[in-house]
Amino acid sequence: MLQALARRKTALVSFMLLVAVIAGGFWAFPPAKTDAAASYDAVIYFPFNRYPLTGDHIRDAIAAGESAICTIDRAGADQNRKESLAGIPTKSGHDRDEWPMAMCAEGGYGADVRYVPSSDNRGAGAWVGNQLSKYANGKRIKFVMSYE
Amino acid sequence: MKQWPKQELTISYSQLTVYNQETEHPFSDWTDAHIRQGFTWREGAVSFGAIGDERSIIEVAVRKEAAPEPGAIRAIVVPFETGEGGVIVSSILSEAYGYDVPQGSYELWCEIVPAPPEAAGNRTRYLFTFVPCGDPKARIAKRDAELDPGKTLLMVASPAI
Repeated sequence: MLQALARRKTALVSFMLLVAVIAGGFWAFPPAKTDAAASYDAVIYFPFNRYPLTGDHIRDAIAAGESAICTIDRAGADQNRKESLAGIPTKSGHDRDEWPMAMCAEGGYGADVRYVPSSDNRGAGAWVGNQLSKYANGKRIKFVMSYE
Repeated sequence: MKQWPKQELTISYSQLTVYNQETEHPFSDWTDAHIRQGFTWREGAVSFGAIGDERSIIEVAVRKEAAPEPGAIRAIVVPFETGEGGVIVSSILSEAYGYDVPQGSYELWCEIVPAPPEAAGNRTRYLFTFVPCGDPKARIAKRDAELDPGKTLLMVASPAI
């Protein structure tokens, strides 16, 4: 009788230890999704089908390793643009699209630059302006392509 | 009549926009026709094509009569009906400057004066002049090689939303 009670007590302690270890594991190593969510302040869904050529550039640049997150840095735009566009001439009818954008802290030297027809690129810029003007410097915005 | 202090503005996506303060989504979509004529127009929000994405000078004034700037390479005139809250001049994710232009009907002149190439550090100037007018008309008063407007200017645009 006493032996059976001792076995039950041991099993209960083992079970509680197991629960504690599992719970501790979750606490110490939260899921990756939680990490990702904490790394940006907002997500915007770029309408690929409305601005396909700019969207194509953004998608390719991110696939090649450029950041999908823009940390808004209005004051850094001029210097970033000087660095990213250095040595890349203008082309009539086209804009030199940069990704990350010059007004993002991630922009500047090494940003991916592609010639994009001006109407597509300026419309995309206007869309970005309408979406992001409300955000203060330092806010981190994640760009996700939307194909709707 | 009235002239405000010069301001510096970083231009992005090759556009500057003048809009009534109460406009929720001031930036518009551009078509190829808009590119060729150098601006998009809708009630209360006009975007002008810039000649460079760079730090530039903004000058805003209200005058009884237009006084074209001799050094301008481009001059575009559009109707503009100002609201109660005045107007704002901005670019994409840039500074936004407010001006208490009196409510009314105007011809809005946008003139572009490039920085002299020999003077390092000088900036391109964008002059915005509001001229009171009861019957304002859109027109290209002075065009550079980048503009190729059609016979009829496109006076329709959609907000980029």
